[in-house]
Amino acid sequence: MLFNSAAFLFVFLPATWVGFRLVVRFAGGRAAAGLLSLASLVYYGWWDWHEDGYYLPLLLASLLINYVVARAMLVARRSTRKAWLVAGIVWNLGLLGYFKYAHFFLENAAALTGTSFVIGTIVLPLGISFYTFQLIAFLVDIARGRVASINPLDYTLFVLFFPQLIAGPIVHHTEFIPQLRARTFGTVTARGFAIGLAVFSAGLFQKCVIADTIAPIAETGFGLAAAGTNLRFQEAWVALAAYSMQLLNDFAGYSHMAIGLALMFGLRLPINFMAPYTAGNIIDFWRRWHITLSAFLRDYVYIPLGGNRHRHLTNVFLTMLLAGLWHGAGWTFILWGAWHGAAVCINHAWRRRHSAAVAPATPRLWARATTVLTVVLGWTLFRSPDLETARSFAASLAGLNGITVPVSLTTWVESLAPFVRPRGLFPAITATPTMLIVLVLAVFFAFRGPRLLAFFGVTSRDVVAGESGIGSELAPASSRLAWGRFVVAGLMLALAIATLARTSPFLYYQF
Amino acid sequence: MRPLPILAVFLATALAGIGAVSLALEEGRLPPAAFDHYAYVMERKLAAQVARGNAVILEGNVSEPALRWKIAERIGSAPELAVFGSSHSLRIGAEALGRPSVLNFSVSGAALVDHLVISEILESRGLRPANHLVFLDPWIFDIGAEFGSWRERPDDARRIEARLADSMNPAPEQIFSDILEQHSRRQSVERFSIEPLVARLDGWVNEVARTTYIAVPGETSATLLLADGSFRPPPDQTVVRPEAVRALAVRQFATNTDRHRYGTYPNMDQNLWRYFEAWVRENARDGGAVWLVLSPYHPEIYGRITALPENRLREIEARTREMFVGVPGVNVIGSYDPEVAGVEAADFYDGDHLLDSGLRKLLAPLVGP
Repeated sequence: MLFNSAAFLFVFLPATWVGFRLVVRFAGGRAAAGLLSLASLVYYGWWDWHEDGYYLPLLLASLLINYVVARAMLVARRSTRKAWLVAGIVWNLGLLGYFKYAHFFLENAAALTGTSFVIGTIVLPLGISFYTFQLIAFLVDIARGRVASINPLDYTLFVLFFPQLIAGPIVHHTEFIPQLRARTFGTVTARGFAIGLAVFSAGLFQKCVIADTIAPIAETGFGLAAAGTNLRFQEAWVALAAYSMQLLNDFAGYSHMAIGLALMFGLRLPINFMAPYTAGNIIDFWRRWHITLSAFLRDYVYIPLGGNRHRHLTNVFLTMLLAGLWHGAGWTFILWGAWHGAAVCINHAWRRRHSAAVAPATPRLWARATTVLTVVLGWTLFRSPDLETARSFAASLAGLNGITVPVSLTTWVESLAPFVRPRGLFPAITATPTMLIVLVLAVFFAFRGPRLLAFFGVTSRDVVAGESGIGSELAPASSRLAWGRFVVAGLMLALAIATLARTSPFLYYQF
Repeated sequence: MRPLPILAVFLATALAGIGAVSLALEEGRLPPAAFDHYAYVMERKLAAQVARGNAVILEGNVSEPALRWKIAERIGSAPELAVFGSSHSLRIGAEALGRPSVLNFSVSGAALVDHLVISEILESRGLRPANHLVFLDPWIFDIGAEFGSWRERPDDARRIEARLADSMNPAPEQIFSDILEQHSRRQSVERFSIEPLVARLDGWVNEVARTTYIAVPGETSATLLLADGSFRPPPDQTVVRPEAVRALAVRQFATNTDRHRYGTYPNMDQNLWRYFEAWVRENARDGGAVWLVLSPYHPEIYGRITALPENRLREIEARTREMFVGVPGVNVIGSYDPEVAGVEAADFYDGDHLLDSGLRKLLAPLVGP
């Protein structure tokens, strides 16, 4: 069930919310946690029902096995605890490895050895990359002695809670389980509900109105490049800009919807996006983009590798390489990770050289431009289905495949053929006036717009702000709700509902 | 402001917004004609120029099916020869065929139903062409290979389907009407959508901002839409190196073995064959001639294509020849096999598209050497 579907918006969500409130009132918070877990299973099982999938049994198996391992670790002696941890991690990574990377590794092994391995189609279970990381973090923290006890209901809801189950944010158990144990669990304030609804509406708007409107520009651009068409210079740049905005609004939109939904149930989730394209440098970008993945990789990969104590830049690079591989099994993703790894390393080296411990409060224009350009160029690798497409697309970006201009300029450009041709601005890609208007507005708001969460009055009491310092970009704790902004949210919801007919899945479902 | 009144403001705004969209969509306030006028604006303008006998500069991103519908709706008299086909025949016009009255209705990747809809527009206007040149693309018998544009002309599709079915005994099963039925059922579920308003806005911008430019062939490097409906690419784009074409053909085949144009048709439909046969026979009635053209594949890949286990190219070619043997007015020319068609590697510009030299050889039985 998609957040942007009528079934979710008009049936599942109202029914779950009303049920939750009734159970809280008449049966208490524990029963309500049980109801939320059950509702989450229904939500997740919807795909099995519609697509003959095996997602739900797999999720339940993973839930159960990790629970058994976690219990065993809690009662085990120190010496055997590590063995249980290794077993748990092997299970989780094995699952991920089989479903996500088996084809990739076998293909490359076959290419290297000149042999052939044939395995059938493997469908990637939804959300596996997200819940696997949550469970690994949970097991590692038990091994570190940071978890004293496990309540099966809390543990189940921590993994299954439907707003974050499929595409994050990657929730850390210390951020979520204590909320379930608090006496306030089940309390939904009018303020929290109103903010949750507004943030959810804004996220839905980002997905349905912005991301899905401009998606055809990106899809035709990269699709044509993959099919062998040489895109013209301006087409490639517009397609890349469209993808940059589509990805941001699709994924940040999902994260905002998750945060809003959680607030409607009186729960707080971590912030996952904070105006990433306004970052002043690439390190800052990763503090703002998919924040919970960055936090996971920092705590469970980068620091265990040695952090900044020794081989700092190597650790940074390897961590980013892994971030690339997490997004997908392919050389394009690995190269994308390497691209960002190199950029972050250069950023660290620059800081050392200039003795700048932190970025200036207001980054200079050139710093922001360089950062955005680095990120946006990186999306070429991220979006291309293979290296040949990435190469062709990069050639178009560099202008090597020529330029087209409006046919009204035909007489002016005759002498420049074949480099310049009068075929219209966008002869191949799909780019209607509305799409281009939405793209321009999306770019404007990505760079100059207000912080979305702060705009709707979200304070650090409403979300988990983490340690990255971005909590300062939320609304001040003393802020009051402004009705004008809720008019905006209401219009966003109305427009989003009016575009539901073209329902499309979220981009991060494929990761 | 306190949360509850704010919630009320939020919900009131959302409801008002939804109400406004509903009102704008309500039948009567924005009647279908208001949307139709702003649909395919550029195609309408280009078609108007063609109908006036002008060649125009062809922008990219034009809907070819819509362009052909608009041309069929605007021409004043029936052409002596109409060309139906796909990208294989886009460039064929009066000059290549040596006839003064030609109109090309080819649509890239066209399915059989795309041809039928255009044919029906002409028929309903009493403008049936005297002769037909039909490029028989092998994918037209796979119902899964249609791109769906024709569904915007449901009445034309239903009419021609019914007429052709009436001409056969026993009548074949309905195909297009069933697809339209499913499509309209889905549309009614998705009725509340802002899309028509967005399309209208796009159309309005196109109406105001875009215009057509008349061109003289040979005096511009732009791609042209000629007055006979054919496309003329810039002269330098038709200069190719045979070795590069061979590599391109192999790459296209290697990366697209499942593509319809390479002849694998899990859904080859017997009813489509029957509608095709009836359409050809209808056009060959009353002294009309129909030339069915089989456009060849590059010599480097034809053997590889036909070696694929589920490939149906040879079957389609044999069946076509058998179906129309001895049928008055129907001629089958060319072959999917380049050797049989009499073309060489140097006659191609990719895996399955011929250069002018190749088209001349292919059409020689019709035009003469």
